[in-house]
Amino acid sequence: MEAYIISNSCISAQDTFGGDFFFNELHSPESGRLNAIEPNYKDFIAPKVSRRMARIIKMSVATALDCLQKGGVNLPEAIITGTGLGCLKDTEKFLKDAIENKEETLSPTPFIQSTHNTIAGQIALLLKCNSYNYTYAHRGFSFESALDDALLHIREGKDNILVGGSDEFTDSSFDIIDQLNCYPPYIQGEGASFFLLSKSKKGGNPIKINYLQQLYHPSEPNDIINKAKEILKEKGMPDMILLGSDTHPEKDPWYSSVVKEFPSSSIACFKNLSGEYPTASAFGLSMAYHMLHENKTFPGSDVKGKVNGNIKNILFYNHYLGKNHALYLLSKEE
Amino acid sequence: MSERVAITGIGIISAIGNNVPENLDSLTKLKAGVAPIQHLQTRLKDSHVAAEVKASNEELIELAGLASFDGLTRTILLGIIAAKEAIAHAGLDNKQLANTSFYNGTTVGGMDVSERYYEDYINGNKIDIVRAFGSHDCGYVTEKIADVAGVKHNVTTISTACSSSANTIMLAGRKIKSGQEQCIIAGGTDALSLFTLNGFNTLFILDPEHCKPFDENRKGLNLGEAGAYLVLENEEHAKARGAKILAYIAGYGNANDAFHQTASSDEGVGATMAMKDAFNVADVDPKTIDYINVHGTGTSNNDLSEGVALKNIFGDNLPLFSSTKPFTGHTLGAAGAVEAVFSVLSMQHNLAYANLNFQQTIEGINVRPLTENNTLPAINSVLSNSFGFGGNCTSLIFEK
Repeated sequence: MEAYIISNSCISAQDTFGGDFFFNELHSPESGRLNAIEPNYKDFIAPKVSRRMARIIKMSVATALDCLQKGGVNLPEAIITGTGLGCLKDTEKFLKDAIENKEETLSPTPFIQSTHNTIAGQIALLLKCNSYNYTYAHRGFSFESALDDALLHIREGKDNILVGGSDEFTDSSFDIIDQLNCYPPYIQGEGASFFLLSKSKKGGNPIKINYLQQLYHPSEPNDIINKAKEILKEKGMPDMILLGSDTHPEKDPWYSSVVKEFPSSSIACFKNLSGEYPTASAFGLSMAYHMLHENKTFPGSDVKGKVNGNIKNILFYNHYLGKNHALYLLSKEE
Repeated sequence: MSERVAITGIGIISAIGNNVPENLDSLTKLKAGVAPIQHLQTRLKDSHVAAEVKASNEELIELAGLASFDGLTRTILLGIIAAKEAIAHAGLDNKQLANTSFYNGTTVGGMDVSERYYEDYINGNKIDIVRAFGSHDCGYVTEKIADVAGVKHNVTTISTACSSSANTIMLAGRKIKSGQEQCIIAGGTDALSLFTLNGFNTLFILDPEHCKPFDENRKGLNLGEAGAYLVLENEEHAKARGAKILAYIAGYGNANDAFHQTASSDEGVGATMAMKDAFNVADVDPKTIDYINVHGTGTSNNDLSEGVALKNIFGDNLPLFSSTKPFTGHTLGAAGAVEAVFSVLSMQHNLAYANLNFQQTIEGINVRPLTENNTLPAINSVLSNSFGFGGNCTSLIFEK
């Protein structure tokens, strides 16, 4: 199951939107969180439309439309999104109103916009796109399930699939996740990343997704190592391994075992840039795509070693809460 | 290897029964599950009916074979009960379950628990944060059901509002056809919650009395709750392990109406496309359909739009059709799977269900649902529609 990434657009805690993704200045967490840097949305969404939209919708719609524009496609043959926690702001607003107003005289707007598929639905509405429209909401598999579905569509013969992952935090979701204490050692983040996938090479320098493998609840790091070796058997050692850790993979048993297993590999990371959230891997894939595409690395992402010369392929490994693991193999077609 | 997608097990808990035989019995005897609200604590219980599962959380814990409510929600309990029944029905053993995947549909996940703690949370009262919100997200619900049921391969959750579980069935069909998966449990679960009940109420699309789908004087929908799953397998895989094949998934289609976030287009654009796609995948003529289980919520907008879409596809040769939502209420994320289970039962028993409470045909579109149960010489093919917010439209075709 293979496909090409034709274009990407990403809003994150770093300055990744609007230019070529590469940021020079490193944005650090504020009050323990990595807030997304939001652009002026008016180039993508009419102000009277965007005024009603929560941040997750705006971030997603802007990156989705930007991605299509970059890829030169008006109407995708499928729109597939992933979000771990969905439209939190509207969900909270409606629940709060219902409780405070004792279930009387409520405004329907936040309810209407609270469903997880508001994102994919709004993209379809703005594009007037009647094609396949799916939303996955499964923790650290939200984006991977969406991407897996996109790859299946390509295999079934469709082309130009728009696929993305997005999550937002609110003050209370930040506080609740903080109290649940499930993200350490990572700090909380948010963002939106969309990709246009095609069955064929087009444009300059498309990046191939050779492989995507999800592993649910593996019992030990060896399960990951074995799967990684199986994937690499065919293609050989990658030029780089991108981990879903921060610059200290040794603090996380899953990532540290990968570092140990591949001692001669150059290793990069991204959670210190994006923060942790259910669809943070969509940020990771954006980064891997741009490293391959523009043959550059990012400030703040080096863990170990430097790639000398061309970055031709990347093994990307991410896990969420130790339960949702995903391995990707990406390559540049010369 | 064969590409046919076989159904080898079904499981359901809804307002009309805690298992498949009880649901069939209620359908046969025209016993609706819509009733005054007993279990959900809401101001609306004095003014509105709903289709609750007729059991308290304590009773559900016992039905699920579990010891306590720790880490659970009503949504999860409904899911566990229905999934276990489907697994037992298909005769999957632990070894087979380890290679089985679980695709779950839900709209609000563990909201039935988190909404009860949210007031204390915003008021700054001390609460057990794990108990309150640790089970909130949709993915948690899916993983908990998978873990309890012993399903270990791939897991995912689809949340596309009221078409969520229909979409898990479509995804499972595609995955099995592609050869990537051999055996998948697909379906969905949603418990009634204050959040959704009030949400639909603010949209003025709840009928406070029993709903009347496809009736000229319909006033809206009744909300319900349910868990329902189907075990889907590659036909050869099912035969190799000696499983009884109940029916097949022949076709599926998903399209977006791209008209409005909550309303359907007057022309039924998305619904028509979804049905067309399903017929293309099944590679059969619409004439072959013996019975349609329509989405038929009972809202003014849905039934009109769906009626137009049905005429777009079938013209004047509309097969027998009905909405079973007057029995079960609209069970949101579970609805597609509930109606898929009913579609399988329809073919097994050659039974086309009554559309309860119907009296008068909608003016302008001459479509009339079944008003009583009809036993036919044979029901070989059933079409089932599920539509949701965000313009999401899904159609499934089942074959004997």
